[in-house]
Amino acid sequence: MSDERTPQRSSGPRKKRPFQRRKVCRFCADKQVTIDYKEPRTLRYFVSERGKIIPRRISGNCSKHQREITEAIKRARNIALLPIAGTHIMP
Amino acid sequence: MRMYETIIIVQPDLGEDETKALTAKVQEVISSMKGDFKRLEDWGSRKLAYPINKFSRGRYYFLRFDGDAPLIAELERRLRLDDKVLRYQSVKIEKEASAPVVAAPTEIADESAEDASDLPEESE
Repeated sequence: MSDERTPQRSSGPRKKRPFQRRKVCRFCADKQVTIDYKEPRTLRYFVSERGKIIPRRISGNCSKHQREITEAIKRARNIALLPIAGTHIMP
Repeated sequence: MRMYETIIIVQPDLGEDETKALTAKVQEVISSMKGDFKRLEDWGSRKLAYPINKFSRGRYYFLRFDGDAPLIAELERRLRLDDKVLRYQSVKIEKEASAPVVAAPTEIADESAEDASDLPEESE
């Protein structure tokens, strides 16, 4: 965004972001959903198109579940259930 | 005794007797090291998310057993020596999954199109 909106403050707090709904951890909200490295369908929601793990500030997970998600994604990548980097070119 | 589960990916184009030999070998290793064999699931041939050893498909086996650390070491040593095995991964689990995993051999497709509202991916 442009800097003209806050000319007085040079080293103030970070830029005001537009209001966003407070995100709720979906695993805390719904206890039925389990985190398992063998289920790439649920893990797919937490990786970007390039295959990166989506950070907590965007996905809205709590720290406990984000840790489990991270662990599960890394295991799933190891056994080729999830891509390591986006879509790989098949030979 | 600890609970383990192992996923083994083997080459997709193996014959009947080769897969039989693999499952027999796995069971033999577990029984010889005084492990407790629980079950072995065949997930069939699935598309890999990325090619491994130039194979774009792989046949998945899910193995669930109890045992000790030397058993894992021996099992992984045997799997490493086998050329047919593309990849393996052993995980120690804390508690038994209540329902057996029904991992349907789905293709890797993105189904996140309609649920994108929960997961904003927009950039600033």
